[in-house]
Amino acid sequence: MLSFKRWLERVLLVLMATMLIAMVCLMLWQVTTRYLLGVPALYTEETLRFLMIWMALTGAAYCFGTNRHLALDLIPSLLPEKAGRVLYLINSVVVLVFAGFVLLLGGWKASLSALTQMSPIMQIPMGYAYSILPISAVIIFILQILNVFLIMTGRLRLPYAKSGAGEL
Amino acid sequence: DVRMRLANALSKDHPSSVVLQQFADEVREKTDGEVSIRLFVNGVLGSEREVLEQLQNGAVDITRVSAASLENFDPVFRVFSLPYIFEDEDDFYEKMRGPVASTVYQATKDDGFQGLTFFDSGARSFYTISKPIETPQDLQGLKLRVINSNTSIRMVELMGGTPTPLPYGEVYTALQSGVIDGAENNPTALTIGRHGEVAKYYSLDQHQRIPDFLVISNRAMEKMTGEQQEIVREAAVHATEAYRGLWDEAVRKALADAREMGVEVNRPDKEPFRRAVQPLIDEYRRDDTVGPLLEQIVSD
Amino acid sequence: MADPLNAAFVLFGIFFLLLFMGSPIAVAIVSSSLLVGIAYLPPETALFISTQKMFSGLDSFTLLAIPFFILAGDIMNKGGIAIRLIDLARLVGGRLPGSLAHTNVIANMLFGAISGSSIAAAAAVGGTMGPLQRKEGYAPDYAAAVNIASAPTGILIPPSGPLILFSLVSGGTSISALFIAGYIPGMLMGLTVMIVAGIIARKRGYRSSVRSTPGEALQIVLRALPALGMIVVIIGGIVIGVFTATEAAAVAVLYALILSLAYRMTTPREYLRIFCRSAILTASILFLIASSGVMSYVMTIAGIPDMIADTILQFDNLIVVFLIMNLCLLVIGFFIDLTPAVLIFTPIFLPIAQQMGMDPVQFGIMLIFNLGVGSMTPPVGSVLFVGCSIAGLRIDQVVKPILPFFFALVIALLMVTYIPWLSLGLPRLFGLM
Ligand code: NA
Ligand code: NA
Repeated sequence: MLSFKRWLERVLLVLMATMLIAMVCLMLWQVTTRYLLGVPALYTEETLRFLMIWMALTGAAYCFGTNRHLALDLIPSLLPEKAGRVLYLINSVVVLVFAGFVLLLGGWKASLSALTQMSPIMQIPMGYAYSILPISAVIIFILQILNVFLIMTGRLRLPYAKSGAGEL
Repeated sequence: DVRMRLANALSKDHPSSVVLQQFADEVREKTDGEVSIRLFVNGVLGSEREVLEQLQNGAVDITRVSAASLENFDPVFRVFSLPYIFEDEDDFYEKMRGPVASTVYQATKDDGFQGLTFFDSGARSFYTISKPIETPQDLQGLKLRVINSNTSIRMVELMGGTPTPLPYGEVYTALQSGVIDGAENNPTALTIGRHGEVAKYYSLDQHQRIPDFLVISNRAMEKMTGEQQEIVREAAVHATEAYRGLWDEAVRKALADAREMGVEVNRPDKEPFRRAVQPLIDEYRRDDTVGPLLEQIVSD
Repeated sequence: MADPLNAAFVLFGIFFLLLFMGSPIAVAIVSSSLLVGIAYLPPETALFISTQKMFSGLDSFTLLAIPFFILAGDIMNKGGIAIRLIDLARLVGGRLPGSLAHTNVIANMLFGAISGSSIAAAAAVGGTMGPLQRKEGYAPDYAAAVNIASAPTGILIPPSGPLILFSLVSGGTSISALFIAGYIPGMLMGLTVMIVAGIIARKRGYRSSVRSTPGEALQIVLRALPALGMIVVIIGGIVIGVFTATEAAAVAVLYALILSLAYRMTTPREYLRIFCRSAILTASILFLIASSGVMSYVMTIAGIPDMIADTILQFDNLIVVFLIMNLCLLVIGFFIDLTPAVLIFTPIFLPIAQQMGMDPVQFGIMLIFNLGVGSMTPPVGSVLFVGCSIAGLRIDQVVKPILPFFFALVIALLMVTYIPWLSLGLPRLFGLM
């Protein structure tokens, strides 16, 4: 189970890094086509925006799995192990409710209702762009539930840093 | 009681915000306070695209948006982005008050909203940093910022310029540093958007006159009685009438202010520009969704 | 809950509860906003808004500068560029008492002049300077405090991610004008930290041991030139119109990549790590940005910004209004990190400032200066977090050493607030406004 989690996280990380590299290349291509070739590429602006959205939400899922989201863990880190686990459970429920409603349900509906709305330049249905919301929600669900299970069974340590310094 | 939210992306003192407040007041008065409308200006609720989605989902009830934003929701609105379909301002008002408008007001009913009225957003013309535009040949090799719309991109291409999509917020600096050679907009971009500080030539080729529309969601419409709906429709038409005077004054003032900023204004012969974009018009005439409406506008 | 005051209490009450429970800040923001949103909108609609705002918060071209500046900063850090700048800084700050502390400040300013992120600066410079200072007998908490207090100079000295963000939220304030406006306040911030650091160093008897011969000095300058060339390429490229301020960030990545390849200080494996690390940091920041749009929407619907504006404007005195505004922002800065604070509070405070006659450019600089100070104060502060983790210290260990810097920086902040020339002098000189 732990190995599945690690594998999934690695896949996400590779995807994120690839998208980031692609973004750099596309942006440089945009400058090149306009300044050096004199014929600005028309599709780069929209593609770059959509890539960034996809990268951010893929990465958001990764950060839920690896507890990399910016958080204030000063108080949780002061708690004894048992109380800490209970708090972790409560926080996980909040995350699941958030992901379930805002990203999964809301994202699913937004994707469907935006299927007929076209992006201005490439004429891609906006619903495709929105679809990363429910996709990332599903991954968040998998990773968060795995985390809860692994922490409750003691196979993973609580994420609240004892040093009090957020990991970045 | 019906309480509605009205969103406008423009600032509080823009003529559209002024008349929309009058519109809200008139509706409140004539319905004895039963229908109250709260106006949100400055785009605080989101971009035009977002607000249209909010309209579909019931967060916002009424909004003023450009036809350019509407064309991503319903392709029929593309017709308004086409260049030179209106002769001048009088022609624009005449055609928009006729059957053309009522056709498009109903066109988006399936998308969850319908049109109430239209507003003129002025004629769009080119402004450049280094030289006035007299003929389409002058556009050759110039990088011109266009709005995110395929019609506008094709138009600039046909006229001989190089369309360069850029977010509006970057236009000022892009003009200043020479990333682009020019842009196109109505004269308020030169003054309120301060582009006139860097672009010193405004050439009134007046290629597009893209209207704004006031649209209301079907849900909001259904919340009202027939009588109230009629009051809202009437108040919207009054808003358009009140707007014309304010807007014309604003355009006149913008042109005067632009001259004051040192912008040279010239009036090129429109005919060569019109001929250059004729293939685009012909192409859209053959289009199934836009064709009949275009025919209606051009033949009048 | 029609009363905006009630709405504000509920909104911030739930937000801080979740925050102190250790919920991710983004989740705390969206959850509290959604709950308050339901009081004003049908539940389904409130949900739709939350989703849409999260999406559209990311749907911005200008925002792309942020991932790129983070990436460029990390490449410079690991690729041997930062260390050359630090050597240069040691040369400049070498003779003052507590010279390594001054070196740290100058290095942060130099690093800031080519990178757009204070987090990258805190990590890059602190990672190198910390051990050096420890070796010379400086207290580790003092060294960390100096690093943390001076890292935000990089977000005032251009290029700057937060200034780009401000331009975006304020509805298109000129990025060029903001960039040029940031130089003097950024240097003022650095100078303030150096004065305090110098006083403390003198008291504790920290001295300098670095002496360079003219030959060594020349060599250090020459070695740093390519890194300094980045300033010329980035600012020059924007000024002569090769690329826009947003595109410049990608060019910075390319430049840093080429330099670091030339220096051969990094293995292919390390490059992979850099890309992964930047992607993670970017994602967590972008997710936070996405979430803050939900909160500002709900606040608008609930009429909270209007309420705050009315309350503050009651005073009708320029000095008092700006004092209150800064106090509010400093308190906000304790709890909310720079990025979400810029996103949430710009729409509230900018109209007030403009009404009181402040130019949006000066307001942007004041806001970023203020929230930059906020990013180094506990309990929430990204620079504080990074500075502590790079120094291996707990947050509570650096609170006391940071205090003198905090108070000195507040004085500098008030100067930036009440002396418009500090921000507007340079952009006016260059005809940018
Ligand atoms: Na900087
Ligand atoms: Na803080």
